[in-house]
Amino acid sequence: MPIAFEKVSYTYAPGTPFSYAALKEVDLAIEMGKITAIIGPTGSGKSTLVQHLNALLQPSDGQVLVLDRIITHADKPKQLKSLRKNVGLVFQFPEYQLFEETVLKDVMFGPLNFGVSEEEAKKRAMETLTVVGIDPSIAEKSPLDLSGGQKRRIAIAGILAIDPKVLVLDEPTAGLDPQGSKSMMQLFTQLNRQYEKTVLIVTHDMEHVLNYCDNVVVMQDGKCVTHQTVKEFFNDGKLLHELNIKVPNVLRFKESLAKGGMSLPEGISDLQTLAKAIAGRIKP
Amino acid sequence: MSNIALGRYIPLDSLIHKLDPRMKIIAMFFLLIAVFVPAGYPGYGVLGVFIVSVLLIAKLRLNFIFRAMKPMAFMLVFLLMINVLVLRTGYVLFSFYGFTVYSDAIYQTLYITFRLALMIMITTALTATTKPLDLTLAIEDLLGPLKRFGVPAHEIAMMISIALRFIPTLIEETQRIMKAQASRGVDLKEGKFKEKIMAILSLIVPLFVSSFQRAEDLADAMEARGYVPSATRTRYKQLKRTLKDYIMLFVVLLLLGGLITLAFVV
Amino acid sequence: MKPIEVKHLKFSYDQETDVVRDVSFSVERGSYTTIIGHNGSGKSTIAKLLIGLLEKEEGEILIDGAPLTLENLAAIRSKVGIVFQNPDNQFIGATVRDDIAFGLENHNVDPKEMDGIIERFAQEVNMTSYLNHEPTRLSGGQKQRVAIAGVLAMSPEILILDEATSMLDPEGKGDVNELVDQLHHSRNMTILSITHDIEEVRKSDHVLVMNEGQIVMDGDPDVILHRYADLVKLRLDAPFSVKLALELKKLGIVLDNPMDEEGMVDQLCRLHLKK
Repeated sequence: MPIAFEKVSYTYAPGTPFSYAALKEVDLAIEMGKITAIIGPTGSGKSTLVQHLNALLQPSDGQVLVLDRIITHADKPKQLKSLRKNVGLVFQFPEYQLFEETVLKDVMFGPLNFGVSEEEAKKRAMETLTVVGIDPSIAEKSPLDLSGGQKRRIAIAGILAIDPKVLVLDEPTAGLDPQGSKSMMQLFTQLNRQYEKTVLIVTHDMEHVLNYCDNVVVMQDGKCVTHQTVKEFFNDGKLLHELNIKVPNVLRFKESLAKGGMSLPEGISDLQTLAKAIAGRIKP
Repeated sequence: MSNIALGRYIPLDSLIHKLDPRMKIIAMFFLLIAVFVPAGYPGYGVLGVFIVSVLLIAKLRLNFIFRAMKPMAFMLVFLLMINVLVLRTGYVLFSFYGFTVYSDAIYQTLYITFRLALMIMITTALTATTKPLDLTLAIEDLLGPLKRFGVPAHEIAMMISIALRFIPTLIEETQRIMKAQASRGVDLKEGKFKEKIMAILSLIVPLFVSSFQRAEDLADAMEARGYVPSATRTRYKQLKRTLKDYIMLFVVLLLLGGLITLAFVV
Repeated sequence: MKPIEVKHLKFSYDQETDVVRDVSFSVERGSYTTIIGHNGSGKSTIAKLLIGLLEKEEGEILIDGAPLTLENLAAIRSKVGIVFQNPDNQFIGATVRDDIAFGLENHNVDPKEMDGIIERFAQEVNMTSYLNHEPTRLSGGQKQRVAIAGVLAMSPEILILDEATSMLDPEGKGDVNELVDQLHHSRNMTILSITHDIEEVRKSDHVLVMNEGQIVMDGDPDVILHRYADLVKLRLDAPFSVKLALELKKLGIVLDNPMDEEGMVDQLCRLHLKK
């Protein structure tokens, strides 16, 4: 298994009065080639967890396996570039990391840092801009003049241009309007299906988990409390209730119908299928 | 960051912590003057004992004071070298490789060391026992009489207090941007000169952009809540002088007077 | 007299492209009004114009019947409180207590009365146990509640929320929404909320839909949220039940009131039993 956490603990500011254990002996294996959602309340350790994936944080205890690397407490922050090249991490509100004069230069910045030639970097930048839905005609504009949604796409393009195998995103839809977040999630699906990226998304939005993700990891109080397929997860009503998870609309509606005497088959996750199933029950 | 001891507030509950910050600032000034009264080693002895007792009353641990002084060590070594080279008075202490060290060189260096140590202890006694915000209020009050001459006392205090409020936020922001750029292959430690410049730019530009954004938002929020810089406004935190403050200042003045007598009269 | 009345408002940052063009609307006393629109549609600009942080180019803004001018800016700002989007960038004091005091100081409240006022409003937003906490030790939702307390302490009649929950996690969002509801009901405060939250729109009394600097729909949320095709064109979303009803309609099942999810479930279950 190429990405795995083995008894990983992480403590912020150890040995001080502010010491805080953000991860406690986390065991977790991420399936490659899938979209995995990481959910859990604020402060449950989600962000700390994902920062281990490209060794921005090194475990206080235990080890993290990423692709062919093993990251432990002792691993000196050298040769980390080869790791960071393979695991792209997009932080929350990534639009704040733009700094170059032009959109094109900003997207080229990552690949150049990883030793890609100027020519190749430019080629990649133009490609990834198209992939994220940015019109190449604005490539020569200053990124600071663009709208928030555009900036975020450019920031994501900046990571994609490095061509990582694994893409990790921390709340990528925060602050976007409904259509903006929908097309953002569709972009990740495309990256996963078409470009075969392994995608990890930290999110609070259960609709997104249900509609776009394959697997789900639930963090709580620094521990991974469950890790399963999205399908299984949303079928386990008791667990959802225990974890205080807001049930997505389709499933909530289905539950209400079941209470009223109309039980529909399992595995319905989208609106159209739900409507058809209802119609099938009502119409002869 | 947490290693910096100089100028840091230590939240403890002591008599010194409770004193009025304005009176503490005034007392600090008198004590700093006392350091420069040429009362010789006996004078420094008295002053030293006084300040150490103040620090002990403030429940500060003395190793904290030593940590505050650490940054000065390099300066003192440098000073000693200069003195050894330059000062050729007093009696000969020893010589090596044809080089003679005179007593005054050591004497002078010790003298300056004592002064510096005293000054650091005095300022630490103020900053470690007074909340930064209370210090700004005190500065505003003390600068108050200068308003007449166009000194914007209130604005200065407001600027300092907002800066203090945003330091943790900006540190957090810097760390976040550093991590975000590290994910894009930025390496501040290695790389060629040009790469390093780019690495630094990749931190500074975003930090500036977001700081301007914050400043704009904050200005909006302040204005929306009725803040007008030039208008009169009341103040929630009222500084109060009590008898204790006057006694403290009296003791300090007594000490200063004593040292002056020791230096010039005796 | 209406608490907010806006007539033919126009504004641009650069004199070329109008961010707000010919906007007119009014808000009823004690009502809960929402403004929706995709990012960049000009919603937040309206909020800033209403409290005089931006100066209008043309048109009129009346607060409680009085036109907003430079002269009565202070009077109007004490009637209208606003909570902004970013919880970090509006926390001014070093602690919760100092932050609530900030507005009081601006209004020349007697320092002796401040503690009482601060404690009363901290209690109202349920932050009493955090009074001496610094902002870095608070969550986004808690910071926004402090911001609301700071606004309430100035006893405004109108509360504007400029995407106040959009940067919060679900828990913070829930807390803040609940608090705003409570203020709306118990104090009969007039609320004007700029939001992306369709659930908030649904429970509001009145919704304004903005696009390209103009108000393109204005009315009852029940009616407007129904117009799914129009909303999608404006890059907006509709409530789940509306979308489902639309899908069902395509399949030949027509329901009475798709805004009411419970009623919808009832109807469907009845149809199911009849069969």
